[in-house]
Amino acid sequence: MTTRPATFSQLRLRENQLFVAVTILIGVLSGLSAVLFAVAIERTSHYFFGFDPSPGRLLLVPVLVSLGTGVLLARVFPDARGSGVPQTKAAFHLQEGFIPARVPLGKFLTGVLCIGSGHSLGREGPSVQIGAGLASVVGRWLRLPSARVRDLVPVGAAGALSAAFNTPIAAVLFALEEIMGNLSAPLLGSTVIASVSAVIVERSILGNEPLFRVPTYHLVHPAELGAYALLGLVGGLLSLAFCKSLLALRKVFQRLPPWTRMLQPALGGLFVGALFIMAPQVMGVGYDFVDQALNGGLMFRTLLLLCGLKLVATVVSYASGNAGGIFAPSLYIGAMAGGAVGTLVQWFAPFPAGEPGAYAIVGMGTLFAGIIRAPMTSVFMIFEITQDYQILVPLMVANLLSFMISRRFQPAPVYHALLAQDDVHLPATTAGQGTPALAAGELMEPEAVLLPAEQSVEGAWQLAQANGGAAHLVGKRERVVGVLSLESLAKAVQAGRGNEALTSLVEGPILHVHPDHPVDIVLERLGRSHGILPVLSRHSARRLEGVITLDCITRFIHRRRASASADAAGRAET
Amino acid sequence: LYGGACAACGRNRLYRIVHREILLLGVLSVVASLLFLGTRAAARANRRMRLQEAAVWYEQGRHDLQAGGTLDAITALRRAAAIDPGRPSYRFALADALARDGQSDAARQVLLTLRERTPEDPQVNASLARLEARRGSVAAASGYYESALYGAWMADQAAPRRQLRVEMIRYLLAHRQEQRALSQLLVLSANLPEDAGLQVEAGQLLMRAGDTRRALDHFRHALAVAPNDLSALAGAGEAAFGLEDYGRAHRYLHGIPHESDHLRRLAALAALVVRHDPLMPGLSGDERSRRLVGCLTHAAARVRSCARRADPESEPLPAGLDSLRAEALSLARGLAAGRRRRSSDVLESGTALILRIERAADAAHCPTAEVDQALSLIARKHESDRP
Repeated sequence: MTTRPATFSQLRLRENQLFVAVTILIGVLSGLSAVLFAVAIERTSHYFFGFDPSPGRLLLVPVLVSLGTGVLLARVFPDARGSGVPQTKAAFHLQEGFIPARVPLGKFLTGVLCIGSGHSLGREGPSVQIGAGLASVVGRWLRLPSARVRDLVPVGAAGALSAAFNTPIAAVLFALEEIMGNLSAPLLGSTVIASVSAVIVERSILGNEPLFRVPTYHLVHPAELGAYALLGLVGGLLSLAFCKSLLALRKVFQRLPPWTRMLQPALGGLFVGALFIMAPQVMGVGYDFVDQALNGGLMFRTLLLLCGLKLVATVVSYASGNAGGIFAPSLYIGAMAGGAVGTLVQWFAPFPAGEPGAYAIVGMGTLFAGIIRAPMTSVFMIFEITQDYQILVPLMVANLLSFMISRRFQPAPVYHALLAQDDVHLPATTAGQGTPALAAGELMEPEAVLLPAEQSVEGAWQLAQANGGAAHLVGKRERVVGVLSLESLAKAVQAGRGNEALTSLVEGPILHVHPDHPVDIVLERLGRSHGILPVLSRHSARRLEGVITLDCITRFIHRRRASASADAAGRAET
Repeated sequence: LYGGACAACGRNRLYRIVHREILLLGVLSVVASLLFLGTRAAARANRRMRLQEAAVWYEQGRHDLQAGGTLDAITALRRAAAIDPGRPSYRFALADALARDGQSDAARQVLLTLRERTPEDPQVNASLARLEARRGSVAAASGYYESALYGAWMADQAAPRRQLRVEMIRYLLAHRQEQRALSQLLVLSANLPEDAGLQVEAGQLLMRAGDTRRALDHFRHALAVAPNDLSALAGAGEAAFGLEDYGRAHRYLHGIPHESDHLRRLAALAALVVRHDPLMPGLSGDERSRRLVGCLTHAAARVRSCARRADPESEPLPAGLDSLRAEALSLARGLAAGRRRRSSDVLESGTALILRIERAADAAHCPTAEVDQALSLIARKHESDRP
C-alpha cells in the first residue's frame, strides 16, 4: 500500500505521454487523409472530365453524379452534407467530441464525388471534418475518457487543415479560433503537435511547395493603404452577399418537400453544369485560376466575371446540399475581386500603385475574414500560403474592415447560421468564460404541458383554461413550434378563428434558452416572455428539455434553502 | 477508471488500460504506415498524370504560338504553368507568349515569379531585361542584363552568354551609356575566340563606344584569321583613319568595294592624305619640299577663290586671311626657288600655316573640296604629333 501513490502518479504521467503519442498519430492520420482526399478529388475530376471536356460533359457530369450522391447524402451519410466545419464545431461543443465512424468515411466518399464532379466547393472543410472524425474514432477506440475524445476533435481538425493548405500555423489558429472559439485554449500544445505532424507527412508526400507561387509584392506608396481599405470594403460587402445569398437559398431548398432532398444536389448540379459551359474556370476547387489571378494573369473583365460566377456557383452547389466546403471558394472569389480592384487602382489611382496580383492576395484574405470570420487565421493563412511578409500590413487593414462590415450586417457567423438553420444552436464563444454558477438546466422543470399543433384554436383554448397558466407551448416534446399566451388564444376565439389549426396563430422565432445558459440570461428572457420560457436542446433546437417559469425559480430557491439548512444541521451534529 | 486490481494479472487496472493503449497505438501506427505508402503511391501517380496533362497543354501552346494564335497559346500555356508550377520552362514560355502579345506587365509578373525561385537564371533575367528595355527603363534593364550575365551559366553556354553581352552592349550604346558599354566590351574582348566575325563585331562595338585603338586591334585580329574579310578591312581602315594613321587606313581601304558613302569618302581622303602629306615617312627631302609647296599653293588658291566668289552682300573675308595667303605663297616660292632651307622646322611651320589657313577658310565658309579636307587632316595630324 505504501508504494501505491508513487505507482499511480507514474501511470498518470504515462497516460499523458500516451496522449501525446495519440496526438502525433492523429496528426499523421489526418494529414494523410487530407492528402488522399485532395489526390482522390483530382483523379476523379480527371476521370470525369479528361483534359478538355466537351460542353455535354460539363453539363451532364454534375447532374448525374449528384443524383448518386444525393441518395447517399440523404439516406446513408446525412451528416456529410455541406462543409463539415459546422458539424465539427457542433461535435466539439455539443456532443463531447462524438463523431460517428461513418461520418469521415461518408464525407470522403461524397466529397470526392461532389467536388470531383465539378461542384464549386472546397476540399478544406471536408478535410477538417474527416480529420476530426478520425480523431474522434481513434479516441473512442482507445477508450479515452470523453473529455479526452473531445480534446482530440480540434487536434484532428488542425492536422487536416495543416495538410490541406500546407499552413501549419494557420491550422492551429483555426482549430483554436474557429472550432474551439477560444484562442487561449489549453489545447494549444496538442494542436501544434498534430499540425506539425500532418504538415511533415504532407510535405514528405507532395513536397514543400507553397499552395500558390507569387512574386514578392510591396506597398509601393503609403497612399496605397487607402486602396487596400477600399478592397476591405469591397471584400466585406462581397462576404455579406455570399453569406446572405447562401443562407437564403439554403432556406429555400430546406422548405421544399422532404422527398426532394435526394434530388436537390442534382438540381444544383444542373444549374452549375449550365454555368460551367459558359465558364469552366469556376469548376471545382479552382486553385489553378487563383494562381493566375495572383500572378496578374487575368484581365479585368475576366476577373469580374469569374468573381460573380464563382459566387453564384458556390452558393448553388452548397445550398443544394452537396458535400464540400467554402474555404476555397472564398479564396477564389477574394482573389478575383482583389485582382479587379487592383486593376482599377492601377488605372485610376493618382499615386504609384502595386500590381493587381498584390491586391488579389489581400482580396483572398478579406473574403476569408468576412465569410469564415476568423481574422487571425486569415492573416496567417495568407501569409503562409504566399510566404510574402511584405503584404502583411495591407492584409491586416483590409481584413479588419471586411470582418467589421460582415459582422455589422450579418451578426451570426456563417457556420453558426448554417447550424441554426438545422436547429443546432452553438454556445457563444467561451473565451474568458467559465461554467456558469447557476445554469438554466438546474432551474428548469422537465415536465411541461404542450398543446398539440394540429388542435383547433377553440379546443386549445379550453385545454389551456383547464390547465391554468398565462401561456402554453405548442407542438410535441420532440418539436416545439411556438408559445401562445392565453390572451392571444382568447382573442382568436373571439375573432371567430376557433376552428382554425393552432399553428395558424404561431408566428416568429421561439424565445428560448438552452440548458447551459446562465441565470442572468434566463431572467432577462423570462422577463420578455409570456411567463413561460422553454429550455431547448442545443443539438436540436426544437426539442424540449424543460420549462422555466417564475414558480420554477421560486421552487428552486426553496429547494436550495432546504438543502443548505440540512447541510448546516448535519455540520452542527458533527 | 484508475481504481481496483486486475483479476487476471493482479496488477492495477490502469496497467491493463495503458498496455491496451500501447498495443492499439502500435496497430494504428502500422495502419498509418501502410496508409502513408498507399497515399504516396497515389500522389505519385496523380503527379505523373498532372505532369502529362501539363505537357499536353505546353505542346498545344507551343503549337498555337507557332501557328500565330497567341491568345490560344497563352491560355494553353497558362494551364500548363498552373498544373505544373514547378517547371520553369512552362512559365518561361508563357512569359514569352505574353510578351509577344504585348502584355508586358503580365509577362513581367510571370518572370518575376520565376526569378524569385531562380534568381540566377540567365534566361529569366535576360527576358526581364528585354521587357524593361521595351518599357524604356535603362537602369532596370541594365541591372537585369548584368544579373543575367553574372548568373549561373553552364560551361557549354559561352556563345549565348557572349551574344547576350553583345545585346547588352548594343542596348547601352543605343542609350548613350558608353562607359558601361566599354566595361562590358573589355570583358567581351578578353574572352573572344579567334573568329573573324566575332572580332569584327567586337571592333565595331568598340568603335561605337569610342575606343578606336582597341577596335583596330580586333580588326587586325580578324584580318590575321581572314585576310580578305571585307568587313574587317573596312573596320580596320575606319579605325586607322580615326587614329590618324592615314597610311594604314589607305592600305586597308584601298581596292575594296565600298558599300557606303562614308567608307568611300574615308578611302578617298586617306588616299589624298597619303598623296599630299609632306611628313609621310620614307620620303626624300625634295619630295617633302615639293609636297609642302603643293599644299601651300593649294591652300592659298582656296583663299583666293573664296575671295573672288565672295558675295558682296555677305560678310567680308577676315583681314588676316589675306596675310596668311601671302605668307603661304611666300614660303612656297622660297621653297621652290631653293631660298629656304628644307629643314624639319620649315616643314612643321609649313604644315602649321596650312592648318591656320584651312581653319580660317572654314570659319569664313569658303567652299571645301576633298583636298582641303585632306590638307586639314594632314596639318591636324602633325600638329598633334608635335610635342
